[in-house]
Order: sequence, then C-alpha cells, then structure tokens
Amino acid sequence: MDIRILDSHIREFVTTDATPEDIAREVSLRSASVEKVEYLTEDIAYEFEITSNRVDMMGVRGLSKEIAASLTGANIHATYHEEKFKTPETVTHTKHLKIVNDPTLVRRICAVELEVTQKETPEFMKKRLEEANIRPLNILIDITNYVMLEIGHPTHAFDFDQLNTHTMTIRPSKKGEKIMTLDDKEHTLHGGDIMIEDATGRIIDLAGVMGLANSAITDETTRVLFFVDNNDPTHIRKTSMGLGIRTDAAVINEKDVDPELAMTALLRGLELYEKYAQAKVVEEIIDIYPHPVKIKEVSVSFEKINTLIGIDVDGKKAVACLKLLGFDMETTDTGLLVTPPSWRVDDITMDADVVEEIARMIGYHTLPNVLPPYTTAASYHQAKDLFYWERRVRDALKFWGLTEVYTYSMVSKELKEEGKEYYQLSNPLDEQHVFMRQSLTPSLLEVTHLNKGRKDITIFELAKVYPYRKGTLPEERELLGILLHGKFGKFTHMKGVLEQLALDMGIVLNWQTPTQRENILVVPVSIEKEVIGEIHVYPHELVTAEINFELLVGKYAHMKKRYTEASKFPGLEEDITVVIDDAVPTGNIVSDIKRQSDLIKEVSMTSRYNSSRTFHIVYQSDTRNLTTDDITPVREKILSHLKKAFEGEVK
Amino acid sequence: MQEQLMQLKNDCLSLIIDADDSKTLEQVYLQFLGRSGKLTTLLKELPKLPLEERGPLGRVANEVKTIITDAIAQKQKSLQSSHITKQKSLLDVTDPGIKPPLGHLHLVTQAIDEISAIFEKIGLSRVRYPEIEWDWYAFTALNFPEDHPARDDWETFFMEEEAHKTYGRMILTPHTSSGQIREMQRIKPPVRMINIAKTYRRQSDTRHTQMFHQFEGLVVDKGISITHLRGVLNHFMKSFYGEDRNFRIRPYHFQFTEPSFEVDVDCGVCHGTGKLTNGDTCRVCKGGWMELGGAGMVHPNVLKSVGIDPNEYSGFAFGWGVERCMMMKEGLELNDLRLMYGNSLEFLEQF
Repeated sequence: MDIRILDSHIREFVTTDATPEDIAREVSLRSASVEKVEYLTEDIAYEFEITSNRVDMMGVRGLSKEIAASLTGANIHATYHEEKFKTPETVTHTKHLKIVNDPTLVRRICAVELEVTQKETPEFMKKRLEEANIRPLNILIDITNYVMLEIGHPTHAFDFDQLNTHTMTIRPSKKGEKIMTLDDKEHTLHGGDIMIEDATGRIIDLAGVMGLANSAITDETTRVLFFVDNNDPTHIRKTSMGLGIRTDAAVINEKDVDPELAMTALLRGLELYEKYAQAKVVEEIIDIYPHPVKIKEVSVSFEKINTLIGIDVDGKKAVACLKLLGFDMETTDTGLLVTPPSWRVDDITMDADVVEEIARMIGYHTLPNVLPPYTTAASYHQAKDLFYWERRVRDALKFWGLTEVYTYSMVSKELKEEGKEYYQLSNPLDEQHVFMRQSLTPSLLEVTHLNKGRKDITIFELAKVYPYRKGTLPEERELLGILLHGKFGKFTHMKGVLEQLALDMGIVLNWQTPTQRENILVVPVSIEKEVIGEIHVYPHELVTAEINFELLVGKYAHMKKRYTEASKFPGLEEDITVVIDDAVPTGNIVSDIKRQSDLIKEVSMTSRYNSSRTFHIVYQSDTRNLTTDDITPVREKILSHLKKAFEGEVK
Repeated sequence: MQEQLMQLKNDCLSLIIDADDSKTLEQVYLQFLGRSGKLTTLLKELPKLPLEERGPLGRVANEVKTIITDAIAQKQKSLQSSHITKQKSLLDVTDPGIKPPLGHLHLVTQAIDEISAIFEKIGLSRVRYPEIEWDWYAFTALNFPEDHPARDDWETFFMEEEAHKTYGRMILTPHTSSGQIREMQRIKPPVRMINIAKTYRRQSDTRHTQMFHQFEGLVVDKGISITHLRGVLNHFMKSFYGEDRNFRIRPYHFQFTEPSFEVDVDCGVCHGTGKLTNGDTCRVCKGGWMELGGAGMVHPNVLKSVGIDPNEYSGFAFGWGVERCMMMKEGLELNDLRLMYGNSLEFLEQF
C-alpha cells in the first residue's frame, strides 16, 4: 500500500538535519521504499510503499520511528520524539452507554462521548488530508481521518443523537441483510461481516470498513461518539473485498493493526476535538480490551547473525540498531535476548526476524558480493535433457522459417473437445480462459484465425497440456504443435519437417494409413510401434501436427555416433520414371526396388506428377568399379518387377 | 625423336595460346599430358631407345614436359583472372541475396534461453515443476498463513476439483516458488536450481496477463548468507543488463523468506540519476532505480516443511517475472502487455 505524507508532518516527530533526498534514499535502503518525492510550494510530499506486514508504518507516527532509525543507521543525526497525552477531564461520571462485544470479531474498543461545536477545519489539517487523498468534509469527520493518517489506526465518529438507544451490540451479519453506507450506497451482506446494532436491532455500523448513513456525522451534529474499534483482520478483508468497499480504514484494518494503538488514537483524537471542536468529554472513556497483546522474547545467537548476514557484525552496533526500532534486549555471552515492541509481535517471532532488523539497519547495500561455494553437483546427461532438445528443436524450426507462438494454457468452451473431461477453473477471469487444455492444435488454429489476412502461416508451439485425472494432479506433458497453412499446408511438408527433426534425434519415424475424422485426415506418427503423435490434414492447404515431445525426448532421442566407411569405388546414378497406379504407396515401390539387388545403395522418389513417379537410384559396390554392363541386368530386373507387381510402365 | 618432341612442343604451345576457356585448356592437358596423351606416349618409348640416346633425349623430353606444364599453369591463371574480371563487371552487390528461410522465436523463449544460460554458468541447473498444483506446495509449505490474501479467489485461480485431504485445494501456480518445495523434496542439499515456468494470476490489464512466466532461483547449503545472494544477483545483473549497471537490495516482505528483499537495477536511461540530461525527471524509473522483483533468505519454516534443519542449513531464493525483466532490459515499451500472448504475426515477426 502506498501512503503519501508531508515532510512537515514527519518533522513533528523527527528532528534531523537530513535533506529530503537523504530521507528518500536511506529510508528506501533500510525501511520502506520511497516511490516518489514531490516538491510542493510550501512542503515536500513523500510516497512510501508499505508492505502488508508493516501496518505499524501506515501512519506518520510509526513511519517516523523508522525514518529516525534509518537515518541513524546511515550515520545521519536524527531523533524521534513522541507526544504525551493528558488524561481528559470528564463532565459526568454516569455511564449510560453500554457496549456488548463479541471478542472473536472485535479485539478492542476505545470510545468516548463528546459534546462538540463545529468549526472550520484548520488549514494544515485540510492540506495534509488532501495530500493523503482524503477529502476534507467537516471538522468532526476530518479529525477521524487525520488521526488515522497520523497514528495509523482507523477511527470512526457516530452522530450520538442518531443512535436510537444507548446499547451497541457487536455481532456477525446474517446473509441477505441490507445496509446503506454513509456514501448512500445500498449493500446486501454475504454474512459474517462485523456489524454493530442498537437495541432496536437497527444496524448502525459496518465496523472497520465504513460507517452507515443512518448514524453519520452531519454539519448539524453536536454530540459525537468517537469510536476506535480494533477488528479481526480476516473478517475485515472478507467484507471489504466481498462488497468491494476498499476504504483506507478497511485496507489498514485488514492488515492486523496493533490493538495497543487504539488508545493512542483515541487520546490523540480527543486532543484534536478539544482543540478544534471545543469538545467536552461527557462520560469516562470506555476501553474494552479482553485479551491484551502478549509479547514473547526471541533469542538469537551472534553466530546465527553472522552466518545469515555473511559478515562479522559488531555486537554493539546490532544492539544500537534494535533499540532504535523500539526493541528491548539483554546481551548474553553468545547472543541477544530480544523483546519486540507491541506493534511488531506478529512480525518478530524467531531469530531470522531479528537478523533481518539488524541487517537492514546495517544496510543490505553495504554487504559484499560473494558467489556461493561449490561443493558437489549432479552429473549431467545432455541426451536426456529436455531443455537441450527444446532449444535445438526450436532453433531448427526457426531456421526452417517457422515462427513460435505462445498461447494460453486455459481455453474457452469452444476449444475443448466434446465429451472429454477437463480441469476447469472455478474462478475464471473471462470465458476465453476456463479449461486447462489437452491439445495445442485448437489454440494454433485460433492463431490462424487471428491472422486471417495472411496467406502463408507456419507456426509452432512447445507447451504443456493437462490430461484429466479425477481427484489428482495431471501428468503434465509437453507437446510440440506445428501448423502449416497456405503454400506449405500439405502433408508432405509436415512429414518432411517431422522426419528431419526426428533424424536429428537419431530417430526414424513410421507412417501408418490415415483415418478420416469428419473432414480431417488423421495420420498417426509412430516410432517402432509406439504412436507419438498425429498429423491432421484439413481441406484447403492446412495441416497440423501434435507430437508428445516429452516421450520423444525421454524415450527415443539419442546422440550416439556411428561411422561407416565410405566405399572406395564411385557409384553410378540414374533416374527411372514409371507410370504406376496412384493407389500404390511410394513406400512399397521404393522397398521393392531396393530388394532387387545388393548393388542398389539408395532409392528415393524425386518427383510425382499425375500417375508418373521418378525414382533416383544409386548403384554402388564396396569391392569394384561398376560399369554399365553391371547395371543393365539390374535395371531390367527392377522394371520387370514393377510391371509384374504394380503393372508399372516405363515412360 | 628429338624433332618429334620439338614439333609436339610447338603444337602444344600454340594450342595453349589458342585456348580461350579452362575446358579447352583441360583438353589440351589431356591431349598431351593425360594417361594416353601424346607426350606421355612418347615418353613411354624412351626406355626402348639405345642407352646412349636415352640420356640426352630424356633430358629434352623432360624440358618439353616442364615447358608445357608451366605454360598450361600460366594460361590457367590468366584465364581465371580474366574470368574473374569479367565477373566483376557483372556482379551487382546490390542484387538481393537468395535467403534461406528464417522464422522467429517468441520473445519469452529468447529471454528464458538467456536467463538459463546465465545461471547455468554459476551452477544453477534448470528445472520445471507442475503448473496445476496443490495449495500445500504453493502456500502452506511456503509459510503462508491460512487466511493470507494470496489464497483469495480474486488473486489465485482455483480448480473445480475436490480438495486433497493433506494438500488442500487444487490451484494454478501463482508463482514459481512452489518449485522450491518440489526441488527440496526431490534432492537433499546442496540445492542449486533455476526453475522457469508458466505462472498464473487472476489479473488481466495493460500491465498484466493472466498467464506469464517466472524464474526462481534457489540455493540451499550450509552457511549460505545474504552475501551469497548478492554474489548471484551481481552475476545476473552484470550478465543480463550489462557490466556498467548496478543493483541494490532493500527491505521488503514475503511470507517465504526472512529477511526479504526487493531487488532494483539502476535505470539504463538516466544511468541511476533519476534525471535526464536536459534536467527533466526520468519517466522510466523511480529516482534512478527500477524494481526487478523479490528475493530473500529461505524462511526457516519453509526448510522445516521439507524436513531440512534450519539450524544446519540456510539458503536464498528469488523469483522474478521473465516478461518484466526482459522489458526492462530491452526498453521495450509495449503499451499493452497482452500483446505478448496475442499472437499477431506482425508482432511476433519483429523479434
């Protein structure tokens, strides 16, 4: 949470020669980050980012302690001083206000009834509130906000005359109860919100979040119930987030404010009401505080301090640092016995917490850079390294002209397969991202729709899918998805890409007969007998592939090298063109040709046009030079076989 | 025979002179010096001559051979040179090259490759862990209290699945930190990992995408200190952002580290001053520094949750957004981060 505070306000608590730049720098390095320093005409505004565990710094007073300590840590002179409050004089001692608390909801209530005279809010207060982004309204309300800004504890003021009874009962809300907050908005409660009702059952406050219209201060108010309630933070967050009421009070209250601070806030508010609204205290201050904060000591050894920080820390300096931050401590032979201040009890519970306080005051930025020492390392096997192959395959595809895409792991209802079970988000952000995908293809197809204007699209993605298993985590699996569209949108292109990728991994792919699934041809891709993926051939120059990349790498990819000595005798090459029925698979023809003689080293189809196919044949012997006389009988054997087996005619 | 040799020499030389391309010259060579060339054939006759003639004739024959060979070599040189001269006048270097295909890797891949290489240099090995995970790994074991806001429905994605008896609800990992737990369950210290993975948060606007990437470093060993974290960060900063860049760590708060830090790198635009050369305030950074992300010393409760004794071992961890670090490095000013996963080819083909 960012808070905006004026330099003049800080200097009411801190006496120092430090410049605003000094403050911004040293506080950022040792305490809260200063996000911005703004020079105004008569003052300087700082914007501090306060982390959620340091609600004690969400007011000027708490922050000033840290500022003084941070400057001291940087050897810049600074002292912190705190106001002392006088006990108020009461008008009457009769107690007629009765508060029935529920200690599971509210941890402390400090309240006082005041008779007030409304006056103009003083300029300094207006200015400070405005700078903190709080709109000044009237003095009675402004004081509640000013106290929150300064002390860091939210406060509330009721118009006492608008409370129908003198009994206030704290209770959890029931689902469906309706309220109107003081900004005149109606809310229906979800149940379990902290609320206050009067004896007639009328709800008069949504405690810790926002006051209600029915008891709000107006310009006519003459009696005020100044009310400081310290609430259970979980309840506050639930109410505030659930109803979408993100007031400053709610944002602070949900972070667990120190209940000790409630009385400080009350006394400071009282002081301001007396000064600026001529307040008279009607009856004794109420303080309901059933379970005061318990403070536990924490011990930390010097050895721990040094090991964790990485340098030898001067013990005296460590003690001085902690004292500045409000800690009490005893030094023992081996370490420190530390008593944290009340506003840090939840935050300082073990030795590492204390080390943090010491280290940040020394300044993390002053510590040296040392690489951790090497002791042992696990052995490395490149051929089994999925990341290595990912890089290699990505690079290959890139250099073959494909472009990599990253699509969302969550897909819309339209992209999921009918009749299949999916992991489903219970709180999706939108309808496009609901189901955890089990295939990359629908996402890749969606990318082509997004790029409709493009004639040729060649894209790929390496990403996980999440096959559904009821009641347990999926076996997440990385797939390689490829989509070729347009000029390259043919089965043979996709086959070529996959075969070359496989070849680079030392793998030979097998091809099986396609099956038809609606208007798609599905070609299984396998290694030996195991199917590792599919190619889908769509009408209109579009083909996709999806390969189980993890299986491909984990089970089959290898980097074994083998050397075969090249023949000393040159080979002879020739092309044979034959007309064969289209239904005959090229693979069968090639393997048949190869079988005709040991002299045939290589056979490949180089072109196919209408019904004629051209085969390139390499003849070679390991023992002698071949002449045309050697080849002629082989060629004849090939041709006669092709004629016999496939009715092939030479062209 | 001597006359024959002289005749042969003259014939050959004149053919060499007439040859106007390398192919013709090659034929001349074969015609005279080839396996059944004229000179070769004549030389084969030499041993048949009487001994006293053999010596002087042999010398002449060798001279002829040398002369022819040299002449051919020289002619070849001059032919090549005139060929190149001719080419020079025809070579237009401004003609377009015939390019092999070149596609594009996604920006995130490029960043991840570089980040993993940098950390592998100092021994942090890359790992990857589940994206659909149990609450226990993402929160409980990382010391998040039961009612921590990160567990709220408005920050983390939950699965429509029954909660596990021990591990709680099924979620989409909101950070790579769950990988710390998985890694420490997989191996005993020393642990040195860099976990790079997809992460998900319930947020989508110009600065957030509901899916993004993080990289998470974790080192756990005996005697690991803040100075070691600084050493690793320093290596990353100088490698990724440049030797002239500086970094700082300052106090912050995270549930799973104690102490916790936020890491800043000095601004590459204003060089850490917060002011541009014309005196204006730098808009890229905050007072000369840019926030990269969080880091910290592994919280003792986190070590305990995986059975590692915090009195014996300590460690540090950091987890940052890949997209964020990359954009800061490149000074890429995407007006909408969602472009990153919008998959417009016009966008992807720029990188």
